[in-house]
Amino acid sequence: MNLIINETGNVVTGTLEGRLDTLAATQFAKDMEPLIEKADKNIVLDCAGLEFISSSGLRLFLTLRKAATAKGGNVTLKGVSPSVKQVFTITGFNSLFNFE
Amino acid sequence: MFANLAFVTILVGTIVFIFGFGSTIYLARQEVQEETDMMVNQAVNLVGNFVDGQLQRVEDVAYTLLSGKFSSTIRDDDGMGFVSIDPKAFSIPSEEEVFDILEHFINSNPHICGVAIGFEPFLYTDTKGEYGFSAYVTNVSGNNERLSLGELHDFHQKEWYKEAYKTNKPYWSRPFAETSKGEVVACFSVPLHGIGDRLIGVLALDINTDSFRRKCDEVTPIPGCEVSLVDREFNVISHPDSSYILKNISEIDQYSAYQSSDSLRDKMTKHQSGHYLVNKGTRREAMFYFAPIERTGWTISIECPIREIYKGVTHMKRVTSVIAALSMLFMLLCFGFLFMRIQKISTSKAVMDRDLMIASHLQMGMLPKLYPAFPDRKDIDVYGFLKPAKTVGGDLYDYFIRDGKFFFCIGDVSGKGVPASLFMVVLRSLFRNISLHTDDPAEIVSSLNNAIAENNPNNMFCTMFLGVLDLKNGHLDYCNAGHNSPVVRRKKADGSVDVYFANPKVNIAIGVFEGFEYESEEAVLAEGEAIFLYTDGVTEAENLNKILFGDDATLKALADARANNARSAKDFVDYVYETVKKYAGDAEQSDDITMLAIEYKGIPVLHLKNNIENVPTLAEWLDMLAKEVNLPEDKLFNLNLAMEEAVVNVMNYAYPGQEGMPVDISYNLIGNQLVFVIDDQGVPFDPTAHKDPDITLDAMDRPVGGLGIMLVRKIMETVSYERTPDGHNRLTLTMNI
Repeated sequence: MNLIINETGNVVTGTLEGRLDTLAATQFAKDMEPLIEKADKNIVLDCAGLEFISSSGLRLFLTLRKAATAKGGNVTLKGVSPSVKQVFTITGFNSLFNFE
Repeated sequence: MFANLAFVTILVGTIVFIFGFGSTIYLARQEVQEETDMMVNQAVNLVGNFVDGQLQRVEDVAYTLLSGKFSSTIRDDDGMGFVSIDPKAFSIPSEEEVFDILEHFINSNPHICGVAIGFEPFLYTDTKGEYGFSAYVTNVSGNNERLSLGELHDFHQKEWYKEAYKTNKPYWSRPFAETSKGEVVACFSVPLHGIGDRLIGVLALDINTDSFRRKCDEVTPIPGCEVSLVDREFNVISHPDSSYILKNISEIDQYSAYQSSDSLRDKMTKHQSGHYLVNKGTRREAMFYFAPIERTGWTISIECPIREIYKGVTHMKRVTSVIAALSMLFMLLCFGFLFMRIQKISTSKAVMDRDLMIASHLQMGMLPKLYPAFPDRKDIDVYGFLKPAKTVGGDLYDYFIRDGKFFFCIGDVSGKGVPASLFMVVLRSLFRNISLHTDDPAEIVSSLNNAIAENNPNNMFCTMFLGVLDLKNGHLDYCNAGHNSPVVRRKKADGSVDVYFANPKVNIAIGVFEGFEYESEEAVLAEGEAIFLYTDGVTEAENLNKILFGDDATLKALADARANNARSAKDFVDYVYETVKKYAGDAEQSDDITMLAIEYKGIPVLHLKNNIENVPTLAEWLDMLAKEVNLPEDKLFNLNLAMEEAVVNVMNYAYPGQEGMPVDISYNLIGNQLVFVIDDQGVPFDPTAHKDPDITLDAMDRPVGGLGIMLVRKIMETVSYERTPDGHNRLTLTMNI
C-alpha cells in the first residue's frame, strides 16, 4: 500500500495504490499523518489504485474526515472502484465524503 | 415339465394297463379253452356213449335171436312152438316161417328197422330165388315189408353177408342209405352156425342212424358247433348238413382240417382222440375235436368256431377295452384339470413373484443409491451397495447428513425373503426417525432395540453397525450391535496406508433383549481415512466347493483395491464385489451382499496465529478457494473483506494479551454455499452480540468500532456463533456463490 502526497495551492492530493487491509492500515496510519496536518485544505484522495479496503482503512478515512471537519477543510474521493464504493455504501461512509 | 410328467404317467399307466389287460385276456382264454375242452369232450362222450349203447343193443338182440331165447319167447308167447333158429338145434323152418320169425322179431324190437337172414345155397334149394333164400323184413312207417332178397340179387356178394361169412365173425357193415326213405342205416351181421358149427348163413340187423343224428343235434356244447359222425372209412353218417350224408369227408370242404393235416388224418385213422385248430380263413378259425367209437371204428367230431368259444372272452375284452378307454379319458381329463390348476397356481406364483419384485424395488428404492451421494459436498465420499440373494433381502444400509453430521448404518436382518425385508424396512424408518432427535449412536441403537424388542413375536433380530461422523472434524461416534467388524483405512505417521479390522466392542444384536444398554465408542478420522462396512454376505460368500470367502480375503481385497486403481468409495466397493464374484464363480449367491464405504475427505483448514501479520495469508488462501469454485471478482472482494474483518476481530479479542495463539479457519462447500468456520480456543467472545454502529450519525459523532462485524453481517449470508463444550469459539459464516 502506497500513498503519494502532492500539494498544489490549496489542494492536497493523496494517491493510493494497493490493498488497504488491516495489516496495511497500520502503516497507512503513519503514511497519512501529513494529510491530517493539512486537513484545513481541500484534500483529494485519488482512489483509482485502491484495490481493497477493510474497516481499518475506513477508520483511517474517518479519522481524516474528522480532522478536516475540525480544521475547516474537506475530503474528496476520486476514482473509487465500484467494489470499494460498495464498502462505503454498506457502512454509510458514503455520506461522509464527496465523491468525484 | 408338468406336461412331460403327465405324459410319462399316462405312458406308464398305459403300459401297465396293457400288460394287465393282456395277461387277464390270456388267462381268461386259457380258462375258457380248458372249459371248452371239458364241455366238448363231455359232449363227445355223450354222443359216443349213446351211439355205442345203441349199437350194443343191436348186438345184444342179435345174440339173443341167435341163442334161441328169442324163438322160445315166440313159442311161449303165441304157442306156435316150432320156430327156432338156434344154430345148435337148427331145424330148417319153412321160408314162410322164417319171415314170420323175423317179422315177430322186428315187432318186438322197435329200434331195429330191418332184419335179414340169408342162407348158404345148400339150404332151401327149392326156393324161388335165383340166388338162394334170404328173408328180409323191414319196418316202414309201422308196416312190415317182406322181401325175398334171393329173388333180387346175389346177396352172398353183399357186404353184410360176405364179410360176416368170410371172417366168420360179427361184422358192422358200412352204413348205407335205405333207399326208400333216404335214411342211413347201419347193419350188424352175425354168422349163423348149424350143427357141428357149420356155417350156414348170416343174420343181419339194420339200425336206423336217425337217432344218432338226433342225438348229435341235441348236443351243442358251444353255440354254432357242428357235431358229426363218420364211419371208419370217413363217410358221413350224421352231420347237421344232410347233403353231406354218406359222402366221404375227403370230398367235403367242411372237413378241410382232415384234408389239410396229415397228422390229424393219421390220428383219426388210428382211432385216437384229440383236437386240432383249423384255420378256415379270417375270423373263421375253429377247434376240431374228435374221438373214436371203438365198436365200429366210427369217429365223432365236433367243430367249434373259435369265435364262439371265445365269445365271452371277446366280450370281456370289449367291455374291458371300453372301461380302459374311459379310464384313460378320465385320467386325461384329470391331468388336464390338474394341469390347468397348476397353471393357475403358476399364474398366481407369477403374480407373487411380480409383487415380490415390486417389493424389492420399493425396498431398494428406500436405500440411498444416487451417486455421487453428496455431489455438493467435498468432505465425504460414500457408496452403498446391496445385492439381494433372493428377490427381497434382509440386509440394509442407510445414511444421511443432518447438521453437518453424517449418520450411517449397515444391518443384517436374520432370515431372508419378505419377512426379513419388512423387518428391514421398519428398521430403516426407525433409524431415520430416531436419528432426527439424537446424534449419539448408542442412544439411537438402544431406541431401535427397544422399539423392536418390545413387540417381536417372531424373535427376529438384526445385527447393525451405526455411526455418526462429524464432518467438521472427522470425529466418529459409533455403536456396534453384533455386526461384523468394520475395516478401516488409516494413514500411518510415515504416510503409508494401513488397512485393518477395527474390532470395536460388540454389543448384542438389535431385537434380542429389550432394555439392553448399548455403548458407543469414538474415533477420529483424518482426511482421506475411510471406514468400510459390509454384511456377512461378503465374508461368507461361497464358491462351488462351499468354502467361504473369509475375513482375510475381504481385508486383502480392500488392501489391494488401491493398487488396482480404486480411488473413490465406489471403486473400493466395486473392486471387492468383483473379487467376491470371481471367487464365487458359478456358485449361487446364498446371502445378501451389502457394503458401505465411507471416506472422510476432510475439509481445508487454514491454521493461523492471532497476529495481524497473517492477514495476507488468509487473503491468499481465499483467492485459492475462489478459483476452485469460480467465484466472481466482486464476490471474492466481499468474501475477502468479510473474512478479514471476522478473523481480525477474533485475533483482536479472543486472546487478550496473548500472541501466537491458534485461529483455525476451515472451509467447506455445501451445495452452493461456502461455509467457513473460524475456530479459536480463546475467551468466550461472541462478535454477533454487538450491535451495528449507527451509520446515520454525523462524521464527528461516528464511532470507529463495530464497522468490521457490521461488514461481516452485511456481506455474509449467515453468521453464527457457538461456544463449544470443549472451550472453543466457533464462528460460522456462509456465503452463497
